[in-house]
Amino acid sequence: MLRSFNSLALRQLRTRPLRSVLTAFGVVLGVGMVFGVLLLVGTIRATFDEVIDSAWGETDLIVMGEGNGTMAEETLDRIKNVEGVRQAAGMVGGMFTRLEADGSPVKGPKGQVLIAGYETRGYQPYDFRLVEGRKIATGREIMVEQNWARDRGYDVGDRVRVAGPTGQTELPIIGIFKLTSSLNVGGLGYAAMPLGAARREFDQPEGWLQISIAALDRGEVEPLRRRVEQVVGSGANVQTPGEVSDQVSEQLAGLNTVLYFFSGVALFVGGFLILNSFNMTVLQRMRELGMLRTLGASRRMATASVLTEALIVGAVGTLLGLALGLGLASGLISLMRGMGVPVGALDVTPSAAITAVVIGIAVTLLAAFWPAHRAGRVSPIRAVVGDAQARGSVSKRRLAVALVLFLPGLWFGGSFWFGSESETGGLAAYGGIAMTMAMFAGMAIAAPFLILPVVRWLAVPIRRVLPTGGRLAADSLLSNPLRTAATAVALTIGLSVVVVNSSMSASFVGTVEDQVDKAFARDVTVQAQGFTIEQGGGPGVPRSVQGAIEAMPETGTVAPLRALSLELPGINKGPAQGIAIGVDPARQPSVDGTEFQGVSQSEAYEASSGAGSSSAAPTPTGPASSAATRSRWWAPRDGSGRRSSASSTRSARSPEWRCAFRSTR
Amino acid sequence: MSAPAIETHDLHMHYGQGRTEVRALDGVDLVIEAGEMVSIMGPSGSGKSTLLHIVGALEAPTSGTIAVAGRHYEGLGDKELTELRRDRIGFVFQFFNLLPSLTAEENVTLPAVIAKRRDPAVRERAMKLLERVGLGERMDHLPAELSGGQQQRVSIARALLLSPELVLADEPTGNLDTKSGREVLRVLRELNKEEGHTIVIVTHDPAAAATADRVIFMRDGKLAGQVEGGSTRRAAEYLASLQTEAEPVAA
Repeated sequence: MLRSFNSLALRQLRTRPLRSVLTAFGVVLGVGMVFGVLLLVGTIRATFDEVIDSAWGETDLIVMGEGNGTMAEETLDRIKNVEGVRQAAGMVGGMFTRLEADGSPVKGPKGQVLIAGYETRGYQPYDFRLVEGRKIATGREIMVEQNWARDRGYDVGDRVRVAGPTGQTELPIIGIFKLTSSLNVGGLGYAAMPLGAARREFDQPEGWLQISIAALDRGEVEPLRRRVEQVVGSGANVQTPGEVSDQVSEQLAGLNTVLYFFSGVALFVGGFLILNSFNMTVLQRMRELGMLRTLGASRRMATASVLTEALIVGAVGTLLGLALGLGLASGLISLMRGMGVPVGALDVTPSAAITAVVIGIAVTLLAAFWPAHRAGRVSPIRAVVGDAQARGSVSKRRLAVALVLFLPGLWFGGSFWFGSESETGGLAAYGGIAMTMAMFAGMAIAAPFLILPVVRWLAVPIRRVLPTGGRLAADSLLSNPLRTAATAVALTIGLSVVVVNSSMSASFVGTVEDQVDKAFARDVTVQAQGFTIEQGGGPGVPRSVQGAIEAMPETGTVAPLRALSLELPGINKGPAQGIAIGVDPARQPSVDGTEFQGVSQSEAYEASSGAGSSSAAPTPTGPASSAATRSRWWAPRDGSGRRSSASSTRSARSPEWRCAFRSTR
Repeated sequence: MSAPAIETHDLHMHYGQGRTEVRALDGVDLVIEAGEMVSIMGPSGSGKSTLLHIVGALEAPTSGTIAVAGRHYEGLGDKELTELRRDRIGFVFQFFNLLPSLTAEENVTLPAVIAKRRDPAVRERAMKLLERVGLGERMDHLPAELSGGQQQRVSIARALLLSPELVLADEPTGNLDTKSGREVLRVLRELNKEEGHTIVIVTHDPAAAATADRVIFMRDGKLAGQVEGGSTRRAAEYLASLQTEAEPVAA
C-alpha cells in the first residue's frame, strides 16, 4: 500500500525514466550555470580581498597616482608631515620578462614578474610572510612569492634571468614569501627588491608608484584621508585597502552582468524545458488524472501530485547542477589563470550553494506551476474520454500578451545590450536583463503564431519527399500547436543567445581592428609590459629607452605619448571617466592617423591646450610645480560624439608612457 | 423503506446550441432500487454512457434532478461532488484505468490512500477482494504483467474497496475477449449478491446485459423500455427492435 498520495509522484517518475532525466537536465543546466557563476564571482572577489588583506597588513591608506601614474618624489615627504600619519612608505614597481636559458623571452603572463621596490628598514608597507630564506636587505636581491617559485621550480639561492627597463640581468633569490595560500595569478610572478637597487634596475631614479600610510589612530582614518587628499591633490587617489578591493569588484561588475545574464538564460531555457515536459505529461495523463478524480482526488491533490513530481525532479536536478557548477567554475578558473587573470583557489561558500538550490527549486516549481494548475482542472470525465479534444489551441488574447511582453522587451533589452550608453550599474543591468527575459517570454508566447505557419510551409516539400513519414510528422506537429511551438521556441531562445553573443563579439573585434588600422600609422610601438592604456599606462617606458630608440640609425620619428585617466567635464549626464593622452603635436600626426570629427588634427591638439581646460584636469603630482612642463593633451571623442579636451601638467622627470616611432625606411 | 439507489427526474443533457444542438439526454426519469443489478443498453448515441457519467457525477446535467441513495446533486460544489464520488460510488472503466506504476494491491488500495484511510482493515479488505476476484496470487504484479481480464478484475476490486453504495461499470467487457468478459461479469454478479452493492452496467453486449436483474433500453436520449435480465435472446431481440422499428415493442 502506498504511504501517501504524494508518494505516487515518485512512482510516476520511475515509470518515465527517460523523460524524468531529460526534464531534470533542464534544471541541471540552469542551476549549474548559476552556481558556477556565483562561485566564480565569489572566488574572484575573495581572491582580491585575500590578497589585499594579506598584502596590506598594517596599512590604513594607499595613495596611487591617477591611472597608475608615477607620483613625484616629494609627495612622500609631504604625506609624512601630515598630522595623524604614523608611518608612510613609498613603492616603485617594474615589470620584468623572464628569459629562457637561450635568452629568448617567456611569452605571456607566465613570463611576467612584477617587482616592487621599497625601503627595507623602518616601516614595511607590505605584510609578506617569509617562509624560506631571509628578507631582502640591500643590493640587487629579490624575494619571490611561494606559489610562483614552486611552479617555476625556483628555490632560495637560485638566480632568475630577466629582461627589464635597463636590459637583461640575473636577479638572485634570497627569500620566499607567502602572499596567500591559494593565489595563482596565471603565471604572473610577484617579487620584492630593496628600494635603491630597484630604482636603478627600473630606471626610475625618482617618484613613487604607490605610497602606503599607517595611521596614528586607526579609528581616525577618515579624517586622515581628507588631510592626505588635500596634500596630494586630485591627481592621486587615496583609498583604504577595502576600497581598493571594492574598486576591483566594480571593475568586475560588467563581467558579472554578462555572467549573470547567461546563467539567467540557462535557467530560462531550463524552465522552458520543464514547462514543456510537464505540459506533455499532463496531456498524456489526462485519463489517469481523470481516474484519480473519480476515485475522490480533489483538484488540489491533482495539482499537488504534479508539483511534487516537479519538486523531486528539481531537487535531483539541483543536486546534479551543483556538481556541474562546481566543475564549470573550476574549469573557468583554470581558463582565466591561463589568460593571466589572477584567481585564487575555488571559494565554495554555503550562501552560493543555498542561492543556487533555492533558485533551482523555485524555477522548477514556477515552470511546473501552469501544468500543475492544468492537472487540477482535469475533469473526472477524462477517465472515460481520455485526452480527446483536450489539446490546446491558440487565442488572440495570447497574441496580445505576447506583443505586450515582446515589444518593450525588444526595445529596452536591445538598448541595454547594443545601445551607446554603456550602463552597467546594478539597476540598469538587472532592468536590461529583466527586459531581455520579457522579450524571450513574449517570443515563447507568440511562437505558435509564427512557428505553425512555418511548419505548414515546410510540410509541403517534406510530404513530397517522404509521402508517409512526412505526412505523419507534419500531422503530429500540427495536432498540438502549443507543444510544437514550445519545443521550437526553447531551441530558438538557446540559439538566439549563441548568435547574439557571437555577433556582438565579431562586431566588437571588427570595430577594434578598424580603429587599430587607422590609429597605428607607425612601424613599432614600445610600451611597458602589464599596463594597458585603459589602466593609465602605469610606470611607463624609461627615458633611457626613448633615448636609445632615438639614437638608432633606422629611426625616423619617435613620438612619446602619455596617458592619464581623468573625469571628463559633463556633457550629457555629468562627469564621465575618460583617458587623456598627452602627445607632442609636432610628431604625433606622423605616427597616428586618428580622424577627428569636424576639425583637423592640429586644430584638435590646439583646441585642447587652452588655459581654461588645464584647471579641470587632475594631476598626479598635485598643484603644478614651477619645474613642470606643460604637455598638450587630447582625448578621443566620448560616447556622445562630442570631442572633449583636457590639459595637464606632469613632473618633468617622470618617464613617458609610450614611444611610437616610424622608421626612415 | 430506504431511498432508491438512483433516482433521476426529467434529466436533460444538451451539447451545442441552435441547429447544432445535440440532446444526449432528453427527459430521463429513472429509478433503480438499492441492491439491484441493472444493465443499460441502446444503439450508439442513445445517451446510455452520458446517463452513467451524470449519475457518477463525472458531468453535470443541463437540467433535471438526480439523487444517489437520497443525496441530491443539485447545488453541490466540486468539493462535495468529489467526496460523493469517493465515498458512495465505485467506477469500473472499459480501459481498466489502472496506474501502471502500482502493483495490483496498490491499485486496489488507491481509493483509501486518496481518502487518507490507511488502517489495517483497508489492507485486509483489499487482499480479501483480490482473492475473491481470483488474483490472490498476483497481488504484487504490475498491470503490465496481468491479462486484460485480470486487470479488469483488479479494477472491480478497487471499485469495491470502500464499499460504495453504487458501482458504475462503463462497457466493462468492451475491451475483453468473450471468456474474460464472462468471468468479469460473473464476479460482478456474485459480489452484487454477496455484498448487496447496486451495480449499473452500460454495455453493447446483450450477453453481458442479461447478467443483470433487469435491462433498461435507451434511444435518442430517452428511456425506451426495459426487459427482465437472465435472457441474452430477450435483450438482443429488444435491442434489434429498437434499431429497426419506429416504436419498440413494450416489454
